[in-house]
Amino acid sequence: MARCAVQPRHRPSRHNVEASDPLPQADDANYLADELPQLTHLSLLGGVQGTLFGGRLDLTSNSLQVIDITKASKMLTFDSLDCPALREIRCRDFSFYGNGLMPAPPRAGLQDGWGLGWWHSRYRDDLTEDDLNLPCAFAKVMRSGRSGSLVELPEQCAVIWEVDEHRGQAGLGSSAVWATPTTTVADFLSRVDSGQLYGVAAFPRFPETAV
Amino acid sequence: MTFLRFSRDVAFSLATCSLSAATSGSDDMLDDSDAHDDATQPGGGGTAVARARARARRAAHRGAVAPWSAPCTLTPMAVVLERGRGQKRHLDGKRAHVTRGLAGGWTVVSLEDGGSVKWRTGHWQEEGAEPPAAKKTASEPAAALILSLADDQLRDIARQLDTPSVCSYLCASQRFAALEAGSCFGECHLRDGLPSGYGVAKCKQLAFARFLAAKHAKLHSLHVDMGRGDVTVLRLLLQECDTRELTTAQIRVEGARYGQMTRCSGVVIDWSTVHLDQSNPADTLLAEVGSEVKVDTKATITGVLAQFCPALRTLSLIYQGGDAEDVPSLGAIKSLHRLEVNLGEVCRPTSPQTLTPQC
Repeated sequence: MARCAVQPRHRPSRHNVEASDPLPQADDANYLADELPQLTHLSLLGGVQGTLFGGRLDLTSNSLQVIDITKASKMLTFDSLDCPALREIRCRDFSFYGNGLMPAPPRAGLQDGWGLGWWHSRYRDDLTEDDLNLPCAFAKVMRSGRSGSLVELPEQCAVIWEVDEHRGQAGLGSSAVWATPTTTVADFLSRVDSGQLYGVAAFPRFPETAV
Repeated sequence: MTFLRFSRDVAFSLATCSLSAATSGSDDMLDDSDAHDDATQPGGGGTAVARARARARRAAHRGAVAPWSAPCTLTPMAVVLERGRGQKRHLDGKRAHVTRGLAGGWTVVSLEDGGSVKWRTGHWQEEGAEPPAAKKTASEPAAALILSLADDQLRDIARQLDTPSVCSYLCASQRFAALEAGSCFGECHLRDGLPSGYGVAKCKQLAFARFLAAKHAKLHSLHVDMGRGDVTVLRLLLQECDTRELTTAQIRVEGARYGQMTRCSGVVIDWSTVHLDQSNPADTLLAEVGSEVKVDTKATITGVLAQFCPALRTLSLIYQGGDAEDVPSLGAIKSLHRLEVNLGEVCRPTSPQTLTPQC
Protein backbone atom coordinates (compact mmCIF):
# COMPACT_ATOMS: atom_id res chain seq x y z
CA MET A 1 0.00 0.00 0.00
CA ALA A 2 1.39 3.30 -1.02
CA ARG A 3 1.19 5.47 2.01
CA CYS A 4 1.17 9.18 1.93
CA ALA A 5 4.60 10.69 1.69
CA VAL A 6 3.79 13.23 4.34
CA GLN A 7 4.33 11.79 7.78
CA PRO A 8 1.68 12.46 10.40
CA ARG A 9 2.32 15.71 12.10
CA HIS A 10 0.87 17.02 15.25
CA ARG A 11 0.20 20.50 14.17
CA PRO A 12 -1.47 22.92 16.52
CA SER A 13 -4.82 24.17 15.44
CA ARG A 14 -4.23 27.19 13.34
CA HIS A 15 -7.21 29.24 14.25
CA ASN A 16 -6.13 32.52 15.59
CA VAL A 17 -8.05 33.34 18.72
CA GLU A 18 -7.73 36.92 19.74
CA ALA A 19 -9.46 38.53 22.62
CA SER A 20 -10.56 41.43 20.51
CA ASP A 21 -12.09 39.24 17.85
CA PRO A 22 -15.36 37.63 18.95
CA LEU A 23 -15.34 35.34 15.91
CA PRO A 24 -11.79 34.19 15.43
CA GLN A 25 -10.92 33.10 11.96
CA ALA A 26 -10.14 29.45 11.67
CA ASP A 27 -8.00 27.97 9.01
CA ASP A 28 -10.92 26.29 7.29
CA ALA A 29 -10.89 22.65 6.35
CA ASN A 30 -7.47 21.94 7.77
CA TYR A 31 -8.63 23.00 11.20
CA LEU A 32 -11.86 21.02 10.98
CA ALA A 33 -10.09 17.87 9.84
CA ASP A 34 -7.93 18.19 12.91
CA GLU A 35 -10.78 18.88 15.28
CA LEU A 36 -13.44 16.42 14.13
CA PRO A 37 -12.32 12.92 14.99
CA GLN A 38 -15.29 11.15 13.36
CA LEU A 39 -15.52 13.14 10.16
CA THR A 40 -15.76 10.83 7.16
CA HIS A 41 -17.24 13.06 4.45
CA LEU A 42 -16.12 16.60 3.84
CA SER A 43 -17.74 18.66 1.12
CA LEU A 44 -16.52 22.17 0.51
CA LEU A 45 -18.67 24.77 -1.18
CA GLY A 46 -17.88 27.99 -2.90
CA GLY A 47 -18.30 29.53 -6.31
CA VAL A 48 -15.73 30.70 -8.76
CA GLN A 49 -15.58 33.94 -6.85
CA GLY A 50 -15.40 32.13 -3.54
CA THR A 51 -12.75 32.71 -1.01
CA LEU A 52 -11.33 29.25 -1.53
CA PHE A 53 -10.10 30.24 -4.94
CA GLY A 54 -6.51 29.16 -5.24
CA GLY A 55 -6.48 27.77 -1.73
CA ARG A 56 -4.45 24.79 -0.74
CA LEU A 57 -5.70 22.13 1.58
CA ASP A 58 -3.33 20.47 4.00
CA LEU A 59 -5.46 17.76 5.52
CA THR A 60 -4.56 15.34 8.26
CA SER A 61 -7.28 12.98 9.42
CA ASN A 62 -7.49 9.33 10.32
CA SER A 63 -11.22 9.15 9.70
CA LEU A 64 -11.71 11.11 6.50
CA GLN A 65 -12.90 8.90 3.64
CA VAL A 66 -14.40 11.23 1.06
CA ILE A 67 -13.42 14.75 0.06
CA ASP A 68 -15.78 16.46 -2.33
CA ILE A 69 -14.74 19.77 -3.85
CA THR A 70 -16.87 19.58 -6.99
CA LYS A 71 -18.89 22.53 -5.72
CA ALA A 72 -15.90 24.48 -4.52
CA SER A 73 -14.14 27.20 -6.44
CA LYS A 74 -11.71 26.53 -9.21
CA MET A 75 -8.01 26.14 -8.53
CA LEU A 76 -8.64 24.83 -5.04
CA THR A 77 -6.06 22.10 -4.65
CA PHE A 78 -4.14 20.08 -2.12
CA ASP A 79 -0.82 20.81 -0.55
CA SER A 80 -0.61 17.49 1.18
CA LEU A 81 -2.90 14.73 2.30
CA ASP A 82 -2.31 12.56 5.32
CA CYS A 83 -5.56 10.63 5.35
CA PRO A 84 -4.94 6.87 5.40
CA ALA A 85 -8.65 6.02 5.19
CA LEU A 86 -9.25 8.20 2.17
CA ARG A 87 -11.03 6.42 -0.67
CA GLU A 88 -12.48 9.21 -2.82
CA ILE A 89 -11.50 12.66 -3.91
CA ARG A 90 -14.14 14.26 -6.08
CA CYS A 91 -12.90 17.13 -8.17
CA ARG A 92 -14.29 19.34 -10.85
CA ASP A 93 -13.59 18.74 -14.49
CA PHE A 94 -10.33 18.86 -16.36
CA SER A 95 -10.85 22.27 -17.86
CA PHE A 96 -9.26 25.43 -16.62
CA TYR A 97 -12.19 25.74 -14.27
CA GLY A 98 -11.16 22.56 -12.55
CA ASN A 99 -9.70 22.04 -9.12
CA GLY A 100 -8.22 19.38 -6.93
CA LEU A 101 -5.67 17.08 -8.50
CA MET A 102 -4.63 16.43 -12.06
CA PRO A 103 -2.96 13.38 -13.53
CA ALA A 104 0.72 14.13 -13.68
CA PRO A 105 2.67 13.34 -16.84
CA PRO A 106 4.56 10.07 -16.53
CA ARG A 107 7.89 11.76 -17.06
CA ALA A 108 9.30 15.20 -17.32
CA GLY A 109 9.11 17.01 -20.60
CA LEU A 110 5.70 15.78 -21.66
CA GLN A 111 3.96 18.87 -20.44
CA ASP A 112 6.10 21.32 -22.34
CA GLY A 113 3.86 21.47 -25.36
CA TRP A 114 0.37 21.83 -24.05
CA GLY A 115 0.54 22.20 -20.33
CA LEU A 116 -1.48 19.59 -18.60
CA GLY A 117 -2.95 18.25 -21.78
CA TRP A 118 -0.27 15.57 -22.09
CA TRP A 119 -3.01 12.96 -22.34
CA HIS A 120 -4.43 14.57 -25.43
CA SER A 121 -4.33 12.34 -28.45
CA ARG A 122 -2.04 14.63 -30.38
CA TYR A 123 0.69 14.23 -27.76
CA ARG A 124 0.45 10.52 -27.28
CA ASP A 125 3.11 9.83 -29.82
CA ASP A 126 5.53 11.08 -27.19
CA LEU A 127 4.51 8.33 -24.80
CA THR A 128 6.66 5.25 -24.79
CA GLU A 129 5.60 1.74 -23.88
CA ASP A 130 7.22 2.19 -20.49
CA ASP A 131 5.26 5.38 -19.93
CA LEU A 132 1.99 3.59 -20.61
CA ASN A 133 2.76 0.91 -18.04
CA LEU A 134 3.53 3.36 -15.27
CA PRO A 135 0.96 3.94 -12.54
CA CYS A 136 -0.83 7.23 -12.49
CA ALA A 137 0.60 10.00 -10.39
CA PHE A 138 -1.31 13.02 -9.19
CA ALA A 139 -0.23 16.61 -9.05
CA LYS A 140 -1.79 19.72 -7.65
CA VAL A 141 -3.55 22.03 -10.02
CA MET A 142 -1.59 25.11 -10.96
CA ARG A 143 -2.93 28.27 -12.44
CA SER A 144 -0.19 28.28 -15.04
CA GLY A 145 -1.71 25.21 -16.62
CA ARG A 146 1.28 23.11 -15.73
CA SER A 147 1.29 20.40 -13.14
CA GLY A 148 2.55 21.21 -9.71
CA SER A 149 4.36 19.00 -7.27
CA LEU A 150 3.11 15.49 -6.74
CA VAL A 151 0.66 14.57 -4.03
CA GLU A 152 0.76 10.97 -2.93
CA LEU A 153 -2.44 9.16 -2.11
CA PRO A 154 -3.40 5.88 -0.47
CA GLU A 155 -3.62 3.22 -3.14
CA GLN A 156 -7.35 2.66 -2.56
CA CYS A 157 -8.11 6.31 -3.09
CA ALA A 158 -9.82 7.15 -6.37
CA VAL A 159 -9.62 10.61 -7.82
CA ILE A 160 -12.85 11.31 -9.66
CA TRP A 161 -13.27 14.15 -12.10
CA GLU A 162 -16.88 15.07 -12.54
CA VAL A 163 -18.06 15.93 -16.00
CA ASP A 164 -19.39 19.39 -16.53
CA GLU A 165 -22.90 19.71 -15.23
CA HIS A 166 -24.20 21.29 -18.42
CA ARG A 167 -22.52 18.65 -20.49
CA GLY A 168 -24.32 15.99 -18.52
CA GLN A 169 -27.62 17.77 -18.99
CA ALA A 170 -26.98 17.95 -22.72
CA GLY A 171 -26.73 14.19 -22.89
CA LEU A 172 -23.04 14.23 -23.67
CA GLY A 173 -22.23 11.88 -20.86
CA SER A 174 -23.00 11.82 -17.21
CA SER A 175 -20.26 9.65 -15.77
CA ALA A 176 -16.88 10.74 -14.59
CA VAL A 177 -13.32 9.73 -15.23
CA TRP A 178 -11.47 8.26 -12.35
CA ALA A 179 -8.05 6.94 -11.54
CA THR A 180 -6.27 5.48 -8.55
CA PRO A 181 -2.57 5.31 -7.74
CA THR A 182 -2.62 1.76 -9.14
CA THR A 183 -4.25 2.71 -12.44
CA THR A 184 -1.79 2.57 -15.31
CA VAL A 185 -1.41 5.41 -17.74
CA ALA A 186 -2.73 3.17 -20.51
CA ASP A 187 -5.92 2.47 -18.57
CA PHE A 188 -6.37 6.10 -17.78
CA LEU A 189 -6.00 7.05 -21.45
CA SER A 190 -8.53 4.45 -22.45
CA ARG A 191 -11.04 5.98 -20.04
CA VAL A 192 -10.31 9.37 -21.50
CA ASP A 193 -10.91 8.00 -24.96
CA SER A 194 -14.31 6.67 -23.94
CA GLY A 195 -15.58 10.22 -24.29
CA GLN A 196 -16.39 10.84 -20.69
CA LEU A 197 -13.86 13.53 -20.01
CA TYR A 198 -14.85 17.09 -20.47
CA GLY A 199 -12.23 19.21 -22.16
CA VAL A 200 -10.64 16.29 -24.00
CA ALA A 201 -13.30 14.31 -25.78
CA ALA A 202 -15.27 17.46 -26.41
CA PHE A 203 -12.32 19.00 -28.20
CA PRO A 204 -12.10 18.16 -31.90
CA ARG A 205 -9.00 16.27 -32.91
CA PHE A 206 -6.52 18.59 -34.51
CA PRO A 207 -5.34 17.60 -37.94
CA GLU A 208 -1.83 16.19 -37.94
CA THR A 209 -0.56 19.04 -40.06
CA ALA A 210 -1.64 21.54 -37.48
CA VAL A 211 0.62 20.11 -34.81
CA MET B 1 -48.66 14.45 28.04
CA THR B 2 -48.55 10.84 26.94
CA PHE B 3 -50.83 9.05 24.55
CA LEU B 4 -51.70 5.43 24.80
CA ARG B 5 -52.53 3.63 21.62
CA PHE B 6 -55.71 1.60 21.71
CA SER B 7 -56.90 -0.64 18.97
CA ARG B 8 -59.44 0.53 16.42
CA ASP B 9 -61.98 -1.88 17.84
CA VAL B 10 -61.69 -0.27 21.22
CA ALA B 11 -62.12 3.12 19.63
CA PHE B 12 -65.25 2.17 17.81
CA SER B 13 -66.51 0.46 20.92
CA LEU B 14 -66.08 3.69 22.78
CA ALA B 15 -67.78 5.60 20.01
CA THR B 16 -70.63 3.16 20.01
CA CYS B 17 -70.87 3.37 23.77
CA SER B 18 -70.95 7.14 23.64
CA LEU B 19 -73.67 7.17 21.06
CA SER B 20 -75.59 4.47 22.85
CA ALA B 21 -75.41 6.44 26.06
CA ALA B 22 -76.77 9.51 24.32
CA THR B 23 -79.50 7.52 22.70
CA SER B 24 -80.42 5.70 25.86
CA GLY B 25 -80.46 9.00 27.69
CA SER B 26 -82.93 10.29 25.21
CA ASP B 27 -85.00 7.20 25.62
CA ASP B 28 -85.01 7.71 29.32
CA MET B 29 -86.22 11.21 28.79
CA LEU B 30 -88.87 10.08 26.42
CA ASP B 31 -92.28 10.57 27.80
CA ASP B 32 -94.72 7.96 26.67
CA SER B 33 -97.51 10.43 26.76
CA ASP B 34 -95.66 12.66 24.30
CA ALA B 35 -95.08 9.72 22.04
CA HIS B 36 -98.67 8.83 22.29
CA ASP B 37 -99.64 12.40 21.51
CA ASP B 38 -97.41 12.49 18.44
CA ALA B 39 -98.69 9.16 17.30
CA THR B 40 -102.22 10.27 17.60
CA GLN B 41 -101.67 13.55 15.77
CA PRO B 42 -102.87 13.71 12.20
CA GLY B 43 -100.06 12.84 9.80
CA GLY B 44 -97.88 11.55 12.57
CA GLY B 45 -96.87 8.61 10.49
CA GLY B 46 -97.19 5.86 13.09
CA THR B 47 -95.57 4.96 16.41
CA ALA B 48 -91.92 4.66 15.27
CA VAL B 49 -91.91 8.06 13.62
CA ALA B 50 -93.64 9.60 16.57
CA ARG B 51 -91.09 8.17 18.94
CA ALA B 52 -88.23 9.43 16.78
CA ARG B 53 -89.67 12.91 16.69
CA ALA B 54 -90.22 12.92 20.40
CA ARG B 55 -86.68 11.63 20.93
CA ALA B 56 -85.21 14.38 18.78
CA ARG B 57 -87.26 16.99 20.56
CA ARG B 58 -86.11 15.84 23.97
CA ALA B 59 -82.52 15.62 22.86
CA ALA B 60 -82.62 19.09 21.39
CA HIS B 61 -84.02 20.43 24.60
CA ARG B 62 -81.00 18.99 26.36
CA GLY B 63 -78.60 20.52 23.86
CA ALA B 64 -77.65 17.27 22.25
CA VAL B 65 -79.19 17.45 18.82
CA ALA B 66 -77.28 15.14 16.54
CA PRO B 67 -75.84 16.83 13.44
CA TRP B 68 -77.63 14.44 11.16
CA SER B 69 -80.99 15.10 12.77
CA ALA B 70 -83.68 16.68 10.65
CA PRO B 71 -84.87 20.22 11.33
CA CYS B 72 -87.71 20.26 13.78
CA THR B 73 -89.78 22.73 15.67
CA LEU B 74 -89.16 22.83 19.38
CA THR B 75 -91.06 23.97 22.33
CA PRO B 76 -89.47 27.26 23.41
CA MET B 77 -86.92 26.74 26.16
CA ALA B 78 -85.38 29.59 28.13
CA VAL B 79 -81.59 29.54 27.95
CA VAL B 80 -78.65 31.82 28.55
CA LEU B 81 -76.35 31.97 25.54
CA GLU B 82 -72.64 31.31 25.89
CA ARG B 83 -69.52 30.54 23.85
CA GLY B 84 -70.45 32.81 20.98
CA ARG B 85 -67.79 33.24 18.32
CA GLY B 86 -66.90 36.24 16.21
CA GLN B 87 -69.75 38.65 15.63
CA LYS B 88 -71.99 36.66 17.93
CA ARG B 89 -69.65 37.01 20.85
CA HIS B 90 -71.56 40.01 22.15
CA LEU B 91 -74.62 37.84 22.63
CA ASP B 92 -72.95 35.79 25.35
CA GLY B 93 -74.91 35.98 28.57
CA LYS B 94 -78.13 37.09 26.96
CA ARG B 95 -81.37 35.28 27.59
CA ALA B 96 -83.05 33.64 24.66
CA HIS B 97 -85.53 30.95 23.75
CA VAL B 98 -84.66 27.92 21.68
CA THR B 99 -87.27 27.76 18.99
CA ARG B 100 -86.16 25.65 16.06
CA GLY B 101 -83.46 23.09 15.45
CA LEU B 102 -81.51 23.10 12.23
CA ALA B 103 -79.32 20.55 10.52
CA GLY B 104 -75.62 20.47 11.24
CA GLY B 105 -75.85 21.10 14.94
CA TRP B 106 -77.36 24.57 14.71
CA THR B 107 -80.45 25.95 16.35
CA VAL B 108 -82.46 29.11 15.88
CA VAL B 109 -82.86 31.02 19.09
CA SER B 110 -85.09 34.04 19.60
CA LEU B 111 -83.56 36.74 21.71
CA GLU B 112 -85.49 38.38 24.46
CA ASP B 113 -84.83 41.82 23.08
CA GLY B 114 -86.18 40.81 19.71
CA GLY B 115 -84.86 39.10 16.67
CA SER B 116 -83.54 35.62 16.17
CA VAL B 117 -80.12 34.23 15.45
CA LYS B 118 -78.61 30.91 14.44
CA TRP B 119 -76.74 29.50 17.39
CA ARG B 120 -74.63 26.44 17.91
CA THR B 121 -76.69 23.77 19.60
CA GLY B 122 -75.69 23.31 23.18
CA HIS B 123 -73.78 26.55 23.48
CA TRP B 124 -76.12 27.77 26.11
CA GLN B 125 -77.08 27.08 29.64
CA GLU B 126 -80.56 26.24 30.60
CA GLU B 127 -81.94 28.55 33.19
CA GLY B 128 -81.81 26.83 36.54
CA ALA B 129 -79.42 24.14 35.38
CA GLU B 130 -76.34 23.03 37.32
CA PRO B 131 -73.26 25.24 37.05
CA PRO B 132 -70.83 24.50 34.21
CA ALA B 133 -67.97 23.67 36.59
CA ALA B 134 -69.80 20.59 37.76
CA LYS B 135 -70.38 19.56 34.15
CA LYS B 136 -66.71 19.89 33.36
CA THR B 137 -65.74 17.74 36.27
CA ALA B 138 -68.16 15.09 35.20
CA SER B 139 -66.84 15.00 31.61
CA GLU B 140 -63.15 14.83 32.46
CA PRO B 141 -62.86 11.04 32.71
CA ALA B 142 -64.45 10.62 29.29
CA ALA B 143 -62.16 13.24 27.83
CA ALA B 144 -59.16 11.47 29.26
CA LEU B 145 -60.30 8.24 27.66
CA ILE B 146 -60.77 9.88 24.30
CA LEU B 147 -57.37 11.52 24.48
CA SER B 148 -55.78 8.13 24.78
CA LEU B 149 -56.91 7.08 21.32
CA ALA B 150 -55.09 7.41 18.04
CA ASP B 151 -55.78 10.40 15.83
CA ASP B 152 -57.63 8.61 13.04
CA GLN B 153 -59.80 6.90 15.57
CA LEU B 154 -60.45 10.19 17.26
CA ARG B 155 -61.60 11.67 13.98
CA ASP B 156 -64.02 8.83 13.46
CA ILE B 157 -65.45 9.44 16.87
CA ALA B 158 -65.56 13.17 16.32
CA ARG B 159 -67.84 12.70 13.34
CA GLN B 160 -70.34 11.03 15.61
CA LEU B 161 -70.23 13.49 18.45
CA ASP B 162 -71.38 17.03 18.72
CA THR B 163 -69.94 17.97 22.04
CA PRO B 164 -67.74 21.02 21.53
CA SER B 165 -65.49 20.28 24.43
CA VAL B 166 -64.55 16.99 22.84
CA CYS B 167 -63.73 18.75 19.58
CA SER B 168 -61.44 21.06 21.46
CA TYR B 169 -59.72 18.13 23.01
CA LEU B 170 -59.38 16.54 19.61
CA CYS B 171 -57.69 19.60 18.15
CA ALA B 172 -55.30 19.78 21.04
CA SER B 173 -54.52 16.09 20.95
CA GLN B 174 -53.84 16.14 17.24
CA ARG B 175 -51.35 18.93 17.62
CA PHE B 176 -49.66 17.22 20.54
CA ALA B 177 -49.61 13.89 18.79
CA ALA B 178 -47.93 15.52 15.82
CA LEU B 179 -44.96 16.21 18.02
CA GLU B 180 -44.45 12.59 18.88
CA ALA B 181 -41.46 10.71 17.63
CA GLY B 182 -41.84 9.48 14.08
CA SER B 183 -44.47 11.98 13.12
CA CYS B 184 -43.95 14.32 10.21
CA PHE B 185 -43.35 17.25 12.50
CA GLY B 186 -40.38 15.45 13.93
CA GLU B 187 -38.82 16.69 10.75
CA CYS B 188 -38.90 20.41 10.96
CA HIS B 189 -39.19 21.75 7.42
CA LEU B 190 -39.08 25.49 7.14
CA ARG B 191 -37.90 25.80 3.59
CA ASP B 192 -38.46 27.14 0.14
CA GLY B 193 -40.21 25.19 -2.54
CA LEU B 194 -41.87 22.72 -0.24
CA PRO B 195 -45.56 22.08 -0.85
CA SER B 196 -47.50 23.28 2.11
CA GLY B 197 -49.42 20.02 2.13
CA TYR B 198 -46.21 18.30 3.10
CA GLY B 199 -44.58 20.96 5.15
CA VAL B 200 -45.75 24.28 6.47
CA ALA B 201 -47.09 27.15 4.40
CA LYS B 202 -44.62 29.99 4.11
CA CYS B 203 -46.88 32.46 5.82
CA LYS B 204 -47.11 30.15 8.82
CA GLN B 205 -43.51 29.04 9.11
CA LEU B 206 -42.46 31.58 11.67
CA ALA B 207 -45.53 30.87 13.78
CA PHE B 208 -44.89 27.16 13.41
CA ALA B 209 -41.31 27.58 14.53
CA ARG B 210 -42.51 29.41 17.61
CA PHE B 211 -45.12 26.74 18.22
CA LEU B 212 -42.46 24.02 18.06
CA ALA B 213 -40.33 26.00 20.47
CA ALA B 214 -43.24 26.54 22.84
CA LYS B 215 -44.03 22.82 22.87
CA HIS B 216 -40.39 21.78 23.18
CA ALA B 217 -40.82 19.55 20.17
CA LYS B 218 -38.56 16.60 19.75
CA LEU B 219 -36.64 17.16 16.54
CA HIS B 220 -34.88 14.46 14.60
CA SER B 221 -34.03 16.43 11.49
CA LEU B 222 -34.03 20.06 10.61
CA HIS B 223 -34.21 21.76 7.25
CA VAL B 224 -34.36 25.51 7.34
CA ASP B 225 -33.97 28.13 4.64
CA MET B 226 -33.57 31.56 6.09
CA GLY B 227 -32.08 34.96 5.72
CA ARG B 228 -29.23 36.40 7.69
CA GLY B 229 -31.64 38.15 10.00
CA ASP B 230 -33.62 35.01 10.71
CA VAL B 231 -30.86 33.38 12.70
CA THR B 232 -32.79 34.36 15.80
CA VAL B 233 -35.56 31.95 14.85
CA LEU B 234 -33.09 29.09 14.55
CA ARG B 235 -31.52 30.00 17.86
CA LEU B 236 -34.92 29.90 19.52
CA LEU B 237 -35.77 26.57 17.90
CA LEU B 238 -32.58 24.87 18.99
CA GLN B 239 -32.75 26.41 22.42
CA GLU B 240 -36.27 25.34 23.22
CA CYS B 241 -36.77 22.11 21.28
CA ASP B 242 -35.62 18.70 22.36
CA THR B 243 -32.56 18.29 20.15
CA ARG B 244 -30.91 15.43 21.94
CA GLU B 245 -31.66 13.16 18.97
CA LEU B 246 -31.28 15.71 16.22
CA THR B 247 -28.93 13.99 13.80
CA THR B 248 -29.41 15.81 10.51
CA ALA B 249 -29.48 19.51 9.84
CA GLN B 250 -29.64 21.28 6.51
CA ILE B 251 -29.44 25.00 6.82
CA ARG B 252 -29.29 27.43 3.93
CA VAL B 253 -28.62 31.03 4.70
CA GLU B 254 -29.68 33.37 1.95
CA GLY B 255 -27.67 36.40 1.09
CA ALA B 256 -30.68 38.61 1.71
CA ARG B 257 -31.30 40.03 5.12
CA TYR B 258 -34.77 38.57 5.51
CA GLY B 259 -35.57 35.03 4.57
CA GLN B 260 -38.88 33.61 3.58
CA MET B 261 -39.95 33.08 7.16
CA THR B 262 -39.91 36.79 7.83
CA ARG B 263 -41.00 37.94 4.40
CA CYS B 264 -44.09 35.74 4.44
CA SER B 265 -45.12 36.33 8.02
CA GLY B 266 -47.57 39.07 7.26
CA VAL B 267 -45.29 41.99 7.99
CA VAL B 268 -44.98 44.66 5.37
CA ILE B 269 -41.32 45.27 4.72
CA ASP B 270 -40.40 48.66 3.38
CA TRP B 271 -37.57 47.63 1.11
CA SER B 272 -36.56 51.21 0.52
CA THR B 273 -35.44 51.51 4.12
CA VAL B 274 -34.22 48.01 4.75
CA HIS B 275 -30.64 48.80 3.92
CA LEU B 276 -30.70 52.06 5.81
CA ASP B 277 -30.82 50.29 9.15
CA GLN B 278 -34.02 52.02 10.11
CA SER B 279 -36.78 50.61 12.18
CA ASN B 280 -38.68 48.01 10.25
CA PRO B 281 -41.70 45.87 11.12
CA ALA B 282 -39.68 42.81 10.21
CA ASP B 283 -37.00 43.80 12.69
CA THR B 284 -39.67 44.37 15.29
CA LEU B 285 -41.04 40.90 14.64
CA LEU B 286 -37.63 39.30 14.87
CA ALA B 287 -36.87 41.28 18.00
CA GLU B 288 -40.01 39.83 19.52
CA VAL B 289 -38.76 36.36 18.73
CA GLY B 290 -35.32 37.30 19.99
CA SER B 291 -36.75 38.31 23.32
CA GLU B 292 -37.46 34.65 23.94
CA VAL B 293 -33.84 33.69 23.33
CA LYS B 294 -31.80 33.32 26.45
CA VAL B 295 -28.71 35.34 27.05
CA ASP B 296 -26.39 32.36 27.24
CA THR B 297 -27.53 30.97 23.89
CA LYS B 298 -24.77 31.30 21.33
CA ALA B 299 -25.13 33.99 18.74
CA THR B 300 -24.00 32.13 15.62
CA ILE B 301 -25.52 29.21 13.79
CA THR B 302 -22.55 26.95 14.31
CA GLY B 303 -22.30 28.07 17.91
CA VAL B 304 -25.88 27.21 18.73
CA LEU B 305 -25.57 23.90 16.89
CA ALA B 306 -22.54 23.01 18.97
CA GLN B 307 -24.35 24.09 22.10
CA PHE B 308 -27.60 22.18 21.69
CA CYS B 309 -27.02 19.32 19.24
CA PRO B 310 -24.86 16.66 20.85
CA ALA B 311 -25.88 13.94 18.38
CA LEU B 312 -25.56 15.87 15.15
CA ARG B 313 -23.99 13.61 12.53
CA THR B 314 -24.79 15.27 9.22
CA LEU B 315 -24.63 18.99 8.70
CA SER B 316 -25.09 20.91 5.49
CA LEU B 317 -24.52 24.57 6.11
CA ILE B 318 -24.81 26.56 2.93
CA TYR B 319 -24.15 30.26 2.94
CA GLN B 320 -25.14 32.05 -0.21
CA GLY B 321 -22.63 34.78 -0.72
CA GLY B 322 -20.71 34.18 2.44
CA ASP B 323 -18.76 31.78 4.55
CA ALA B 324 -19.20 30.16 7.92
CA GLU B 325 -18.37 32.91 10.34
CA ASP B 326 -17.62 30.79 13.38
CA VAL B 327 -15.50 27.84 12.34
CA PRO B 328 -14.08 27.12 15.82
CA SER B 329 -17.53 26.32 17.13
CA LEU B 330 -18.08 24.12 14.09
CA GLY B 331 -15.03 22.18 15.16
CA ALA B 332 -16.64 21.75 18.54
CA ILE B 333 -19.37 19.49 17.13
CA LYS B 334 -17.38 16.34 17.69
CA SER B 335 -20.19 14.03 16.61
CA LEU B 336 -20.07 15.19 12.99
CA HIS B 337 -19.58 12.51 10.37
CA ARG B 338 -20.63 14.39 7.26
CA LEU B 339 -20.03 18.04 6.74
CA GLU B 340 -20.88 20.30 3.83
CA VAL B 341 -20.01 23.92 4.36
CA ASN B 342 -18.66 27.10 2.87
CA LEU B 343 -15.37 27.87 4.49
CA GLY B 344 -13.46 31.08 4.47
CA GLU B 345 -9.91 30.55 3.37
CA VAL B 346 -7.52 32.79 5.24
CA CYS B 347 -5.20 32.81 2.28
CA ARG B 348 -6.96 35.02 -0.19
CA PRO B 349 -4.81 35.69 -3.24
CA THR B 350 -4.97 39.14 -4.71
CA SER B 351 -3.20 38.35 -7.94
CA PRO B 352 -1.87 35.28 -9.73
CA GLN B 353 1.65 36.12 -8.63
CA THR B 354 0.70 35.93 -4.98
CA LEU B 355 -0.52 32.36 -5.19
CA THR B 356 1.61 30.76 -2.56
CA PRO B 357 1.02 27.48 -0.77
CA GLN B 358 0.39 29.11 2.57
CA CYS B 359 0.01 32.63 3.71
